[in-house]
Amino acid sequence: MQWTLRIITYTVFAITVLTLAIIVASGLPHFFKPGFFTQWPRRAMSEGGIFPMLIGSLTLMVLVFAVSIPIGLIGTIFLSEIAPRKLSMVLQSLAATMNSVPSIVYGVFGLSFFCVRLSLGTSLISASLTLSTMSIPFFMNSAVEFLRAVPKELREGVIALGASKLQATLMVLRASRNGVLTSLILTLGRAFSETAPILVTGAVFYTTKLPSKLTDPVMTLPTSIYAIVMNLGEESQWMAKGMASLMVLITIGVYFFVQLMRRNQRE
Amino acid sequence: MKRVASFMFVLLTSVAAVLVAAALFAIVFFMFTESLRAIREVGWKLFSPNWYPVWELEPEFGVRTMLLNSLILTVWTSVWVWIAGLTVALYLHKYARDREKQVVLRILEYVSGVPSVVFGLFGVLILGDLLLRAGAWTAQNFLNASIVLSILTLPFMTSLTFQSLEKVPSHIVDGAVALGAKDVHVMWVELKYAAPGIVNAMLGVFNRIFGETMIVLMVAGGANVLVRSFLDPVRPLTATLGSEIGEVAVGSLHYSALFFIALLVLSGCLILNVFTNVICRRLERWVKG
Repeated sequence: MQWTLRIITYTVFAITVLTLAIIVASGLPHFFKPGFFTQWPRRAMSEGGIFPMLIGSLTLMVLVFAVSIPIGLIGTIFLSEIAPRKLSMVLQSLAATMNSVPSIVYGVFGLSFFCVRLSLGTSLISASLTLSTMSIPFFMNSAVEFLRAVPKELREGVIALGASKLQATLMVLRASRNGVLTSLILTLGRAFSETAPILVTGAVFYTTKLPSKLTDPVMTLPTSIYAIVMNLGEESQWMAKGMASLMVLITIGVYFFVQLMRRNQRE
Repeated sequence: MKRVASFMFVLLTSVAAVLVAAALFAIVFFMFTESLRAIREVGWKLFSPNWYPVWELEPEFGVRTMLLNSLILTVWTSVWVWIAGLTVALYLHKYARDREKQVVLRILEYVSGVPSVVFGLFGVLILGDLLLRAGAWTAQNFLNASIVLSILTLPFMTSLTFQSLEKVPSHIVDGAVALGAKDVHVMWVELKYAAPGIVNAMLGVFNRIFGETMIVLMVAGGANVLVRSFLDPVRPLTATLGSEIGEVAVGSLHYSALFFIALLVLSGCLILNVFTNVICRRLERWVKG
């Protein structure tokens, strides 16, 4: 019994690790081509670098961060500190439901609401609002656990000392800051890797300039990978491989950091 | 003053929470209103097998083939992920040493965060090539999509199952051992006790595969025919949605029909959610007596 399980586990595990390793290894050498991170792609993306995609992805992240973290954090505080238990349970199950809605549905929603109804068009702002709609419940779902984990005595103690609700909340936030930071990073990591929603709301295959205002379209890493793999031939594929490898390394970095935080918290 | 500040604070926070609830209803509302035109004009023919949205004479908007392909792909892949995930979780829980456990779980967590488009690239450029060499007639097909989807969802299944197995209280296991249960029986007792969590993970996997877009868009092959063999190219619902929604004239019948597909995917997900909640609550009652 033990050995059957062990062999199956090792096989499955090996396949998964091998997949990651192949992806990283196939793209890693391209990092060292001159200008890979600093040049624009040229000749149908067969030469040059990934500079605009990198900047596009980063800009998108900053915008998602600016919209979803304040709202997410305030909403989380409401769920864990202020709402009555029943209401909080209902809202939390709504957030959990939103979390399981497929990302393409968010994309389609963003297209009809932000791009068409609010006439924002295919733009940075539509894409970041769509991603935020998706990230906020994700953030709330994971952050609320950490706020709840703060012991009750602490809250009661602060209130007993005459603190206002706001002061008490700030104290709870400080006590759970590691956890909240973890959920924040995971939220950004997820927003960074989502492809389908921005594919239909804000990303374009190619532009000749960086986005200068919120209504400009962008090029991003994940959508460029998709576009190259599906539309361009073999001489451009190295760029997609390089970007994929970069995204895997970033993901590993994000989760490495999260695991580190978790270990610190336990100690 | 303090009271006003406190009131404002409560108000502000509740607005943020209500916003989230409103977003879910807005999504459902939009999917429904935008697909209304297709429902009214095409009616039951939406469930016919052929999808020829841009044929000028007689466009057809039938989703049956895609829906069936989606379901077949999801069920087939889910079963493999369930089996593999359960096995790995059981092994980690019962036999693995601490160090082994940590390494495997940690690396699986890395895999769980990798963007699906990257796995899509792997499927097209590397796995597809291997399949061609092994004698498949197209590089992108059902089998390829199924393998890539399994790799994507396996970490999710494993870690959730593992967590629910670890939560089984030790007195349950000790009790079983004290009554003279063999290894297999002990395992059975643990599985039974962790059943709500495991079923939750299983349905979560199903939901994820059903809704996953990038991978099926890139790897499944995109032919709208009912799958007959593992090497047939297929096109599930989400692939059609992902590939056509960006290029369609806003407000046209085609646009509306695509929203009907989105509505189908969304309602599938919501129904599955309710179903998961009901089943898990029942199981919990059954386990705890």
